[in-house]
Amino acid sequence: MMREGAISVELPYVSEGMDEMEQLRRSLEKEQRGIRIRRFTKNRGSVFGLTVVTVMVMLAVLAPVICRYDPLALDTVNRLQGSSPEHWFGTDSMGRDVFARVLYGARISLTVGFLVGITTGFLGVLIGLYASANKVADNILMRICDGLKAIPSTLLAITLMTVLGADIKNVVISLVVVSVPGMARLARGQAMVVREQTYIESMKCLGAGKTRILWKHIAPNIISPVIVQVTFVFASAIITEAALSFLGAGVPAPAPSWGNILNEGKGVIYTAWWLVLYPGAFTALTVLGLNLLGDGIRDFIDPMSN
Amino acid sequence: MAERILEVDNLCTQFKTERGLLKAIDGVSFEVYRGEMLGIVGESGCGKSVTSQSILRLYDEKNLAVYSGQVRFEGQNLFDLSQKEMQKIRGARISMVFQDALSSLNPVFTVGNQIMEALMIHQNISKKDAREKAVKMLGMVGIPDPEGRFFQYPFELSGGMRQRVMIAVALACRPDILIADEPTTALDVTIQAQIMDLMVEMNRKLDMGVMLITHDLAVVAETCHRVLVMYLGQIVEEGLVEDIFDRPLHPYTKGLIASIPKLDSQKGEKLHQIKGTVPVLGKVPEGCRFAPRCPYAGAECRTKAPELKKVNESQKVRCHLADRRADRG
Amino acid sequence: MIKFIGKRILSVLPVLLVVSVVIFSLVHLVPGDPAAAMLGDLATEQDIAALRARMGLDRPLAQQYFIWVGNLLRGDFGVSVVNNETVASMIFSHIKPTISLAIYSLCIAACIAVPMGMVAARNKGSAADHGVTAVSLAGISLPSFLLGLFLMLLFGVKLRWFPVSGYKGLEEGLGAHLKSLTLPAVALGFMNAALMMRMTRASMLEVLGSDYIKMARAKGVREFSLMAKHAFKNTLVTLITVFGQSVIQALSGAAVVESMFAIPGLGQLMVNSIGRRDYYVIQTIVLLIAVFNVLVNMVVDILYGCVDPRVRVN
Repeated sequence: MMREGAISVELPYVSEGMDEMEQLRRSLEKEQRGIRIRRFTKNRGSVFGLTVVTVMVMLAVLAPVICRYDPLALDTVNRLQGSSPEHWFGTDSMGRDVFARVLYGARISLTVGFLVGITTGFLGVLIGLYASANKVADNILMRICDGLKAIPSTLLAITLMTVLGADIKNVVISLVVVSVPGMARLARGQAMVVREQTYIESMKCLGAGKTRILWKHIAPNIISPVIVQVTFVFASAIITEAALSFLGAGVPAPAPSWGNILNEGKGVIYTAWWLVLYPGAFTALTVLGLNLLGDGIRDFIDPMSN
Repeated sequence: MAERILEVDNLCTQFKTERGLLKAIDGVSFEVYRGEMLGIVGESGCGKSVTSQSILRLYDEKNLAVYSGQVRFEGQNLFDLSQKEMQKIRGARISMVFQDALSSLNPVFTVGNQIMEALMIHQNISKKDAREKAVKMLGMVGIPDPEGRFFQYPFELSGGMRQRVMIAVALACRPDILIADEPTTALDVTIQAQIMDLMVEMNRKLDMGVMLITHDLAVVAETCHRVLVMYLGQIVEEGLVEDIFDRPLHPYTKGLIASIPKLDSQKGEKLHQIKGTVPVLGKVPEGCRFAPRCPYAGAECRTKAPELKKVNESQKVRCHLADRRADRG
Repeated sequence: MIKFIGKRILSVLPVLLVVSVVIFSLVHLVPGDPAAAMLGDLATEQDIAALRARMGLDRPLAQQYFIWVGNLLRGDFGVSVVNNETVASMIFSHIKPTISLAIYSLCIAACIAVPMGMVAARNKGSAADHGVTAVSLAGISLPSFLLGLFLMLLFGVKLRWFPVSGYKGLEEGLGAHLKSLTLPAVALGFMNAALMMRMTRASMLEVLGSDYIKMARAKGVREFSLMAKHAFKNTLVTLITVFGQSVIQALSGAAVVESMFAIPGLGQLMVNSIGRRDYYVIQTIVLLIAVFNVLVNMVVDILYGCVDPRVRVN
């Protein structure tokens, strides 16, 4: 009914002068930015999301400094120990330090998620842009995307992993294949909208080259929704990676991925709950943080949405 | 004068927003008589629609709106009624027609169904009777082939037809008052005229009070008996159509009338415009609300808020300078 | 209406074609020799050659594709390379628990989520609304395998209300059947429930803010019928979509949940086949679910048309 931003801007009386119009525009822009930042910081969710993601990244980067143990070091004497000052998150069935494994797991999960997000974003924009520019390419590319989208993403990822073999590189490839169709559709849709706008028409009239129009004028205008979507792809890549590893089809075993730790933990769930709880909580928290951050970024970019 | 059926007395409606209460209308008082057409005019954002929807208490009272003042319908204050009792008034005694028929008619029900529903809620009649009456209503509002149209969905009708359907829904139970909120704004000019003719015809036929809310003064001049001019949530002038158009007293009313395009005006002659724009709600100027845009405003106008004063038998105005200018004619 | 349905059904065919090509290529465009990969390191040259011949891998790709599709259409899904059982019979023997689980989880999700979403929309800003928003946020951040593990920890290990694993068929009694499926069904259904709640709330809010609801209110329509008749039918379009998505989600999510709770369904069959590199089984299950997905979407489209007259025309 009453939206902030829509009514809080006081319009000075209409004036003739161009300078005043320019001033008005600037003050409007400034006001808009103010609203955006206020919206972002006022929304506890997005601040929480940003904090969680930052902390996770820090923990992952600083893992070698923080941890006293090697995540792969075996210590069969101290196996399946509960949490203690020595091992904060206890030890697993081979006596490895769970705290170290969870932190190093953050490295793997975040790296996979980040790579998948960025690659998907880039490929999605590439495909979407060219699809929007060329009818034939559009038909072929979008039919393939439809076909890929018809296969539920987890199952597609599992199939790809079976075919490619369990390996961290293949995890990234599979997840990219799974996420690109959605991103391409989004980028194409946005590009189509931008294409219709008059300034692109006038660009064409001015004789700007096709590639130039695509990358210099259309791409920057579709980037905001793509960034938001990248955040969500990031989050879902972390989930799917963990699920794949949990099923034994993701990052190969000794590596401390969250899914792997959970997989081990499931086998000893009656005796060693900490093997499930800690990596599980880290996964859930990171994903939650990314989702909240994505929502926050969307509100920041488009304060009127919601 | 005819029977007085609705009295609005010092009505205030405030909205709860993120930044506290916002006064959308501020002390509005007027009456509606049986059989009359009352025009309410003003620029968008002046509180016309809020006034009409407040009368029917359509705003969510838990989360959105706070009402004060009284709306007396046949002597009964509507704000004293429970929601249940209010439902018996809405659609049966006081009806409403909205601006955009396409979005105001439910897209997934047939038009016949939507007219029948109004009948079946308020009148204890069988489905068969309701259907018959609904078809009759469709015919009455001038829809050709009412039996066939009965089974059509709103999106299958033209804009004018949809508006007629909405009028049929509103009039199905023969209300005492019809509130029409910009009923022709979304339509083509020729269709506008047809719909206005229909409104006038219904007003005579059913002997009800019609509140016509519009920003189109020409329509008011042609159809209404009395006029309220609103500005920033207040009534600034009230009077018979002749008063308002022949002897407007408030500078705002004068501005509105001067800005109606005239057929006999010279080509190239600039249309009159009122300086400035309507200030945003919550940033109401001190003193007279119109003062910042008023060409005549003096020192008094900027500090002291004027009252709505009776200047003659039928006319009221909210302006410090009105007396002086009324003398001058 | 019949024309509309016919059009919808026809529009499915090209998608099915693309799906089959995509799945076929997934398995056949792999670098390396699938036959060798399937048989593992111990296989001899002859074994591999024999398998290649049996799988038809020595023929051109296009021909292989048409043979494969032809076989599929005749109901011949191939033979598992691991135990020589036909894939069709393997799928048939594993399908019952999956269907049970999917239905159970959908029921849980729909029965909780739809009314909750409506209540939240009706009382926007209330405690119930904040609760629903929080739950739906948790839902999209808690994948089924994580929730499953947490549920196992709490209800299986700590409270011992439900078994942590072990499936009881319907023939052992409905009670036992449901009890053995409750934790997996909740794990599987929670994300769907969250999605349904979110969508129900959002579309209900949109509908409640619409002009036709205002008009209906101005007409004197009672609050209950305002929600149950005017708002509900307009929300139904969204609900149908979400429900369609949830059906697919429940089937595809079964892979993880079933193998976790040791339920002998399609999902477990698929996950076991990963280790055995039994391409045919995986390929067929994925294909079946993808085809089912396409069909569900078609049904959703047709239902759209039934609910919303505007869709039928376009």
